[in-house]
Amino acid sequence: MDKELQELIKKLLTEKKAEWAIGYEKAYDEFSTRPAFIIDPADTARLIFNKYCINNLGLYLTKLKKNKLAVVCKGCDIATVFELIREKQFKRENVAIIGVACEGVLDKRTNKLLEKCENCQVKQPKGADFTLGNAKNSEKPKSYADVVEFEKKSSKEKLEFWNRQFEKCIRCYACRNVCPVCYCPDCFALRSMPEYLSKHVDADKNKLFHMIRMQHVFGRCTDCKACDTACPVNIPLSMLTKKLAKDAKELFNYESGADTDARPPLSTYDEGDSESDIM
Amino acid sequence: MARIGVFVCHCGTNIAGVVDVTRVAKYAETLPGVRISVDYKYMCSDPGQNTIIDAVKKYNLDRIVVAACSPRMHEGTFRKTIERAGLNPYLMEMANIREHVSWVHSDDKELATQKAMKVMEMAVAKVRRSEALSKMFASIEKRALVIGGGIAGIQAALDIAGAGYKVVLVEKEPSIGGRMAQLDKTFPTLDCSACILTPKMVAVSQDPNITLMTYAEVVEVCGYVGQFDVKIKQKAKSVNSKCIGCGVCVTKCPNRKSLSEFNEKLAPRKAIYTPFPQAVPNVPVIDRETCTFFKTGKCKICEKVCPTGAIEYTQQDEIIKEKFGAVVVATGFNIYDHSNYGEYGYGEIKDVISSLQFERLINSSGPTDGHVVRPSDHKEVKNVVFIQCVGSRDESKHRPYCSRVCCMYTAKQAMLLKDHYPETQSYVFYIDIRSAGKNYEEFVQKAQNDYGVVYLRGRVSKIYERGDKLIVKGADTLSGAQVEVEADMVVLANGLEPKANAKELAQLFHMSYDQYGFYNELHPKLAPVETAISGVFVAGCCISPKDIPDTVAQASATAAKVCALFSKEKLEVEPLIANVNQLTCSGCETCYNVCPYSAIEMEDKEVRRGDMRHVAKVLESVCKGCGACVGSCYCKAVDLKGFSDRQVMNQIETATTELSTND
Amino acid sequence: MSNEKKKDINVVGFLCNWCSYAGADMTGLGRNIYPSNIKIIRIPCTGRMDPMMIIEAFHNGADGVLVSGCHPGDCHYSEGNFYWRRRYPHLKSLMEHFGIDKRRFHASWVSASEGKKFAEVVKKVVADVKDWQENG
Repeated sequence: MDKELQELIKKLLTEKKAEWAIGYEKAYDEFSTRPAFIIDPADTARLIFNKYCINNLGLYLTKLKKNKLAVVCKGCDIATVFELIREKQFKRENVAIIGVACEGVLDKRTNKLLEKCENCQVKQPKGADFTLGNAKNSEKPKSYADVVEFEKKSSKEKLEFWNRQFEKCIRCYACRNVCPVCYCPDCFALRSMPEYLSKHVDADKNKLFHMIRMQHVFGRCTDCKACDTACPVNIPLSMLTKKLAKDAKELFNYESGADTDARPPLSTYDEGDSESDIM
Repeated sequence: MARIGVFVCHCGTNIAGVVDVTRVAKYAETLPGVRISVDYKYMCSDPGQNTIIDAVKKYNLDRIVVAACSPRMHEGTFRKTIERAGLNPYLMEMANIREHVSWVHSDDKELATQKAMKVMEMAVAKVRRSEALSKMFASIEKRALVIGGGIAGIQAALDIAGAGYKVVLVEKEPSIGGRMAQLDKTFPTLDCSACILTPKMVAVSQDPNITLMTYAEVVEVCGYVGQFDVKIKQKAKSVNSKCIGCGVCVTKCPNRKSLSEFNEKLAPRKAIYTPFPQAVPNVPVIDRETCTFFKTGKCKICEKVCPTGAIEYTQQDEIIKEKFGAVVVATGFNIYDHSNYGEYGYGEIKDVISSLQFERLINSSGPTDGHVVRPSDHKEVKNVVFIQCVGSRDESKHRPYCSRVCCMYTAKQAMLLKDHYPETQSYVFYIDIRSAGKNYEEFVQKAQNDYGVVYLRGRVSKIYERGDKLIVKGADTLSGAQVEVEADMVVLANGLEPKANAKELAQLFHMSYDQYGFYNELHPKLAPVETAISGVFVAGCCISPKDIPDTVAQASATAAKVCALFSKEKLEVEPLIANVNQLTCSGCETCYNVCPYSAIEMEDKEVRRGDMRHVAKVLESVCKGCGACVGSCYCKAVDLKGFSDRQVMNQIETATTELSTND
Repeated sequence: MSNEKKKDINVVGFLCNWCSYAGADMTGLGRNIYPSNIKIIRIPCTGRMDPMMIIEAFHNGADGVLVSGCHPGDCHYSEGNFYWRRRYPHLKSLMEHFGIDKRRFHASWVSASEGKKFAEVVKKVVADVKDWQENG
């Protein structure tokens, strides 16, 4: 597939259909890949795709202020690109999505398939402009079993669980920095007037940061797990992002990144919305 | 550092009777930035306001907190006060220690005082982050919309038009006149209702400043005071402007299947009809629900007989868009439906009639030409029982309020009956007689003394038919006896309730209404015809039941309010609106999507040199300051003046901390 | 005394200006007594209710939070409470996931004439928070 990928991108760059192409290249060892930004068609030989291509390259679309981009996307990453188009960060016609069939990616720390890759519905990418390779989608739907299990805990247990987790947090903001939808020009966490979040690092403040970040990405987060895999202290952020996906689906029958014209659940309403819990 | 002054009001004993105001004032002095804190008996009084002005000058204050009543009551007052002291009016915050503290926590004075201290501290925290805001002005469309063509709407329209402003009067029915047109005579003078109403109706139709739209309804409202964009649906009348009102079509129409709404269903009406002979405009409409042509495609008799070719079957409902500066809502009332009363026969006994039906029966232009006969067999009546408080003062029917006019109109009806038929005898079952009003009590006394109407204090427990008579069983609580009256007819004094679609209309304007659907005034005493929506005024029975004099007085009051509004060149509007910090805006268009007023515009702009971005912008003259954009912005790029994040955060922080001293 | 005060339940109430704040004024006019634990913050509309503010309130130590607005259809600004009606279940669910008990976070519709209802709502919120504090 690498050859095919290289040829395609070479063609796009040569024909000026893209100014920049974003793909993967080999990093410092055989288990590592990193994003590659290609301008020169001659450089395309660096591009690869394998089971270590864990990054969601959608992240860079908002960082590169270029008119015409080509981006290599796993099926799941396309949702991110769609989400960013929905939020008017760029126009659909200005990004060439190169979908690559994917049998799942490995977390290099554990050498295990990422949890999200089990029951993956988009091993074969949907909605791409070019699709390379073939893969068979899972027949089983996405499982929320771990979230459901967690929800059964008492609020005290949940509180204690998260307090332990956020004690570990060092507020490196890696989760935010790798998040494709955390593209705000000026993050609330760094503001001083008003100071939404104290710059002091302790479990309590860390939790506030994560609570607000999770709220901010509700209905926008595609549960891509970039934050979860980026966290250097292994806070199970997936338990939160998955909850967001589950709530969006259950409360508002909404799936982020499915439709570039959709209204996210909090930017719209229905006169018949449920209000069973409102006094 | 801010220089804040805190002024604590006693409000007589309203606050000071529960809250230790001295302690509140003392506590204020311990707060950072507070230079002076005083308490005073009535802060809103002239000397009270002067205390503030003097303190501003003496202590060089730049921000003020008034701990007193609700800001909904006196925010405007104190803003003006500090403006007089030379400060920006928006550098004042009120701490509501009356409605939200002393009046609701009178059970524990210590806790109430502590809460008052906290509430005051929250206001100090908020005002610290208040910003000076400059006044904004908007233009005024000097045209008024009056909704409802009853006596209230007619009076309001005439008064506004009389002052030289344009008015559009919208009425749902084919004619104006409303409930008053249905009445025979009016209490306590017994002058004929039509004689005093119809000249006003004619005046409306002849006034060059009034555009009359009958058979029309308001369907959509956008905008705000000075600039309401209203869509009015003109229902197809099927009769065009060529009509001269000769009435031949009505006479010749063979279709008598419907019952006359105007005659309270006591008589049939034609499919093409005017509600009553004195209708204004005197142009009939075709009821398409019953018209033979519209149902079967055959007939067209009206078209054939019309001498001017005014019948137009192809007319369509039309949506008309108009701009108005102010609105008077005068939609009136319905009478309570007595079929909810099992003891009065569920509305199924034909000779148990409503008060309005009685008005039509005794009216000389009514369906019986003024003969009071029984609907069942058209026999004249001898004994008539009147029952008061039907759907009034009755908790079991969820109508605990008094409808105010029923005692009076029952006395009137009993007297009119005696005048028409001296041999009749009337009985009135009542709970209490409420006859507060000029010459009202005398009127009721006259009914009892001069007209021999028998008043029985008590409720009726059952009405049933025996032969061709009605047996009315009830209690006379004054004598303690059970009474049974054999009557020919029973007239119920149905209470007043809002129109069935009153709530829908309120929602178009975002007016608030009570549990029955009566519209809420801005203030029950001091702003009785204003609503919480500026530029929207209310008059008559859509607010609460009332008689004709009160209704007319309110209608004229709304006209005065409208004229006062229109007399200004420009309208001062609250500058409490949203603003976007374009440097932090990501251009996601969330705010643009949620704004109910389309007050957000997206633009491509160089926010910093070399930083071209797609960003949001607030259209200041359109924004109403609801803050939906602020609540949905992820980037925290939008904020709301007067309720900014910094202000609210300060309030939250203060609300969640303990009082800062060991007071 | 300060020790005693610490135990006091602290509820932050965000009330929309047009309905619920006016409704709470009406509670006062009707002299309906309710617990003094609630501290009221006036906002123009529940649509302005930034979820961050609620998270901040809990973070700052509020035991309970109440957001109250106009009944659906009655919003002064037409739509604000409809947006809030969507933010609320999402936020409540997310807060619960973080361990903030559902008894601590409430929403209500209180109109300008429902003074008695507001008193009942506050009583219920305070009782719920108390139940959470005492029974876990």
